[in-house]
Amino acid sequence: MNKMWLIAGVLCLSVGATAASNTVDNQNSCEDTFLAASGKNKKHSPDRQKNEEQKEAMPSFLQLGGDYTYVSFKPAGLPSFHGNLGGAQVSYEYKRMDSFYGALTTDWKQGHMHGTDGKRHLLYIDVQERFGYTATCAQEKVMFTFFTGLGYRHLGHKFIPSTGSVLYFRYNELYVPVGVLADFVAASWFTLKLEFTWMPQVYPTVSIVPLKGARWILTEQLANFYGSIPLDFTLTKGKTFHLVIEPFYERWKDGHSTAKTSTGIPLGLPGNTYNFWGVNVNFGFQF
Amino acid sequence: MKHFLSLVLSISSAFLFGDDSATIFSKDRLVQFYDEFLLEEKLYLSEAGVGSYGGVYDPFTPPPNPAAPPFKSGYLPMALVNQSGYPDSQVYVLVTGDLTDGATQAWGQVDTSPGSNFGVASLVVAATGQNATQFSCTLSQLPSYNAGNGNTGRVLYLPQITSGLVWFSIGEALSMTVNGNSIVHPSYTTTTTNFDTFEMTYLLSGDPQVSVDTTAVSAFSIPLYAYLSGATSVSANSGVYQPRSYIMEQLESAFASATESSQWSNLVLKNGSTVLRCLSPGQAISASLFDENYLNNSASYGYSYLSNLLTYYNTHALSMTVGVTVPSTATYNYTGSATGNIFSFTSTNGGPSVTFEAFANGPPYTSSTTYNILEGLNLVNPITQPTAGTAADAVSKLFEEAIVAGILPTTNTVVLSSLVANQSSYYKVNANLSSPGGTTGPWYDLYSKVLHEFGYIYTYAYDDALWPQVLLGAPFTNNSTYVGITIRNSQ
Repeated sequence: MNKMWLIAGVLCLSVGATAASNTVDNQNSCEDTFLAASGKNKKHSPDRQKNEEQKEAMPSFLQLGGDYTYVSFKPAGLPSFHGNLGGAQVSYEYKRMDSFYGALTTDWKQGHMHGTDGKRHLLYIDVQERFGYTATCAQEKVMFTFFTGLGYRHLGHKFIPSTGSVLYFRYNELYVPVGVLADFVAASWFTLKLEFTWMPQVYPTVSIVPLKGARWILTEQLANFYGSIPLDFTLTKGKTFHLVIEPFYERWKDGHSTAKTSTGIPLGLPGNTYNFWGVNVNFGFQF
Repeated sequence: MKHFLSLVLSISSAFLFGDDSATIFSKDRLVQFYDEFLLEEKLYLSEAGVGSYGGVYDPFTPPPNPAAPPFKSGYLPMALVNQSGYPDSQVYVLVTGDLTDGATQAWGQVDTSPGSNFGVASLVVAATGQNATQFSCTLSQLPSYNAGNGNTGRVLYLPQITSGLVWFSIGEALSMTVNGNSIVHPSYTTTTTNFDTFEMTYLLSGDPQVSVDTTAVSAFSIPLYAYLSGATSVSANSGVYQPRSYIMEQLESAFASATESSQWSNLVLKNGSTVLRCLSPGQAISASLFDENYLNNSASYGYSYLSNLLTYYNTHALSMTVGVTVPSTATYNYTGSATGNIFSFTSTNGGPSVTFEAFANGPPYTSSTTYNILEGLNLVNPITQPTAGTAADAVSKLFEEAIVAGILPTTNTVVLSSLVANQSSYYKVNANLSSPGGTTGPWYDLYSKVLHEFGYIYTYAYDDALWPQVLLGAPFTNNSTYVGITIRNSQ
């Protein structure tokens, strides 16, 4: 555990040195953070204390909003599909400075994609449970949260091919999110955030309808990433209400099927690659 | 709890140590179920264009030869690759043929139970009361294997069989009964099921021991493309591979373009708007779908091909060279001439004289010379048929082959070797026809012409002489020789 804090402290030192304007303050603050992470005493200035108290008092952040997503989808070796998705997301975060971080996020979106091979209706559901640690530096103007957890992704396709009958694919994929969140408090009313999450899969499966009854195991895909730049506007002086506009990009892959007959004939379901671009617009409530 | 544990143990041991008995759990059957489930899922994916079942293929390119299937000692494996567009569960297979005595008709009873004889056909002597449906199975009931190039293959293991026919049907099993000891084949004109046949013989005392061919002598319906491993014949492949719908369109188009399109177009047999099959002219005559006097009906067409032939050879000599094997092997040169409506042939080197029956018209169609020619019946005696290999047999066959291919009338010597060497000259308007023979008809076999544009396939009773590339032959090498059949798009 000490090792993790050491890494957090070192990251904080390096980022804080470039992100803030006062080098001396940065060094002090990060040193303090490191000390705090090491469980040692630190000194607090009156301003910092006030700031911290305020945040400590409101460690919970509930967000609710809608999203628009443009998706580019490509099954391996087959033509691409493109389309638009819409949906909603809810998240709850518990974030204390220099302390435990926990979150639960849910994301739902759906829409249509079109391609030369036909049409696909896509349903996207993602649930992510996170826990980690939040480190602060630059007088709490910069926060870094390192987290991991467990994620579940459901991707449902209704595929209406140009020829042949309708097929349903139900991808159910467990993954382990590993990520970092960065908060840069630019003003009392605005915080610039960055999020990057790596999402290696651990148990991806798919079922195919009309033949029900089997969940085919897929190859685990490691190159799944999510990146976003949430722009957090504080709407009230008490910092209770927020508007968060979050442009994002996500790359996700479904593996190909691994099943073979006893004589070695593969099922032959190809893997898929998704590229999502979009924006989430959330209303936040901090308490 | 104790009972529950006992039950769990019993079930587990049944799974682990199960045999092939149909009454208890069997690992083989579970594996078979899994395989079938996966293949069916694979087919759904293929039909939707996601992945491939029969491999990704160009419908206008010959399919690759199926990879060697697993062997069973003493049996001839027939590797079946289904690219028909129908799932394996809808493609039916039936084997009929003669025992090694060459006389006793039998069914192939296929073992469809997973086990050591899975896919093995054993011959069951035909008897009254039996029906082909008892002996039919679907491709999905046969063992599967990886046929290479992304193809899923099925294997049928055949015992020694003579004059064997492998029947393929789509959607349902064929119904055939037994009359006495003879299997009654389905009617080509009334059967609404899409079906076709493949001919094969596997006889260890034969020469060659394995011979197979693709045939449309009676009708064409399903494109089959064959491969014989270790072939010592002219080719190792025969058959057609283009989509059925395309072949049918080309046949219809050619028939519609013929001067006598009203006759030729009747060969494409339909059930409503569904094309059932394309009949050969001989089959169509027997079903009253084609003029039984087509070659001798000046009242209908303003021209009689047979009259033209008689007139021509009344003043010209028809030189032919034939090989005979009965009573002994010999090559005879013949000079033929027509007097009235009778053709007679005299040998210049010791062969027996041959005289055809007088050319005649139907009805009945069986009395028609047109029917005898197009159906490959002997012109010396179409009822009793001379012994195969005799001069009467050989002269009649060569005469008919030359007519079907459009070679007669000619002043050149008609000899099989020169015909085969000039296959590109088959099925063309003969310049020696008197007017209006060149602009009517056509007076060759248009059905054969169109099908031969797609590949090597028998379309006429004596196409074995005109198209030796169709027949594939090989010695049988145990655990090495196999036949591959790719069932191409049949929709």
